[in-house]
Amino acid sequence: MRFNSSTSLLYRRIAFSLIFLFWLRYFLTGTLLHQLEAPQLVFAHTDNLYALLLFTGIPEWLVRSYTAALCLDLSLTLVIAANIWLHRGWLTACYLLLIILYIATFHCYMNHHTHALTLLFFAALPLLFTRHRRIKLCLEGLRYYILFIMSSAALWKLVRGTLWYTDQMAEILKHQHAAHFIFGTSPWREGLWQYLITHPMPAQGLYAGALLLQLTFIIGFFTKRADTWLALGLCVFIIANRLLMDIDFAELTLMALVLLPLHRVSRGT
Amino acid sequence: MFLNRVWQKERWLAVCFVLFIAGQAFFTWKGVQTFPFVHWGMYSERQSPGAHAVYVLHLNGRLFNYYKLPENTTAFLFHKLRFYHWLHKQGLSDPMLPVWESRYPASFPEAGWERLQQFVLNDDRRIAAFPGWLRRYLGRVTGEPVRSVQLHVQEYHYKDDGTLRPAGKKELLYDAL
Repeated sequence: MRFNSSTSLLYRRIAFSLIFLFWLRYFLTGTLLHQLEAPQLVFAHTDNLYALLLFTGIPEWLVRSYTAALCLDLSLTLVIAANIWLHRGWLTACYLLLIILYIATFHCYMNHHTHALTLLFFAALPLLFTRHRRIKLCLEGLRYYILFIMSSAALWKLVRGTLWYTDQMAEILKHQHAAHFIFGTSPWREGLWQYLITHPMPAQGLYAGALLLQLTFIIGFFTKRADTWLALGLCVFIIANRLLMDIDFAELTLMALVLLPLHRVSRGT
Repeated sequence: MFLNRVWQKERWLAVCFVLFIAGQAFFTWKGVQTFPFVHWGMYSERQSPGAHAVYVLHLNGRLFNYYKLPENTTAFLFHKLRFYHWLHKQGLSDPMLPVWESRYPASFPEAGWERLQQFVLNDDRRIAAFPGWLRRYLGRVTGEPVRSVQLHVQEYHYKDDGTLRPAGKKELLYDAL
């Protein structure tokens, strides 16, 4: 892998530009901390780190004080924007600290923990370093982690045997879309969901397809030649999730970035 | 092997990687989600047939379609309502209380447990403040004054043709100015 400082700079610019776009989207859809109106009810689930953070009282202070929440949101906006252009380890460290605080606070007061936000942390982690040799090793480590994440998702389905339960996908769709049918949110997709709910076999075929797609990520442990295809597979997974499950995994594009051969694009820049 | 290569170039980084792998293996084995370790096992558990809960909100006496809000706002609201429903099913006590009771060592000071209850768990004060917050929050996202908010959980069953048939209904909260 011909990885040099141009490659790490390119990765930094694309990754933080994407993070900035996600952050802008959170603002436009009202999920920054200052937009939550000092929420009640907290839920750390079984997460020790979240519980420890809550224990300090900082997340509680952040959601109770509008000024504190606004300061955190504005600081993160500035730090993300600065990270696009400036290659400083301390600036990335600031981002990582602030984003952990945002993710933990948001998850605990949303009363639900998602995977998508965690990727905002992982994508920036290699950029904590300034030496491109270290960045390269961390990006390689991150590449193995996304391969593990995707292939482990397939293995969970295989180990738990749900691939062989023919009603699995139809039941998932029933559970996922009951409210959508009642509130009429997406007429063109409702037809597709209803078809799949009443036809469990094609639905289960899609479940098997998703499993197969996730399983192909095992290839990445043996060769890097298929990486571009795996990045494409990740994008297909994001679109299919949006279409069938109405789940937004847009942050996974950050992981597709890790699989792309950026060193080829950055060569000579 | 990748780890061997890292060990030869940056020993401390290799140690960090090994510790991370150990953490990931531990939390995967425990089957719990702990930041930043990802446990990507969703939808792998068998989905059993049964009733499906839909949360129905009425604002100022009128049905409010919160699925027309921006997607992330809908998701945030849905998870708040679902958690409140969970609290209701637990008799308005925090469902995580037994978990944290078992994790908090008996030898640790009582003040620590009180702080944990105050910040990590939901006491009566926090639960009682939820309806007021919901009214305020909905007022902000709709841009209209909300004088009253009513929350029901309506259960549905699927018919053979894929349409929904209402089953049980329960009021979870009513809050008015």
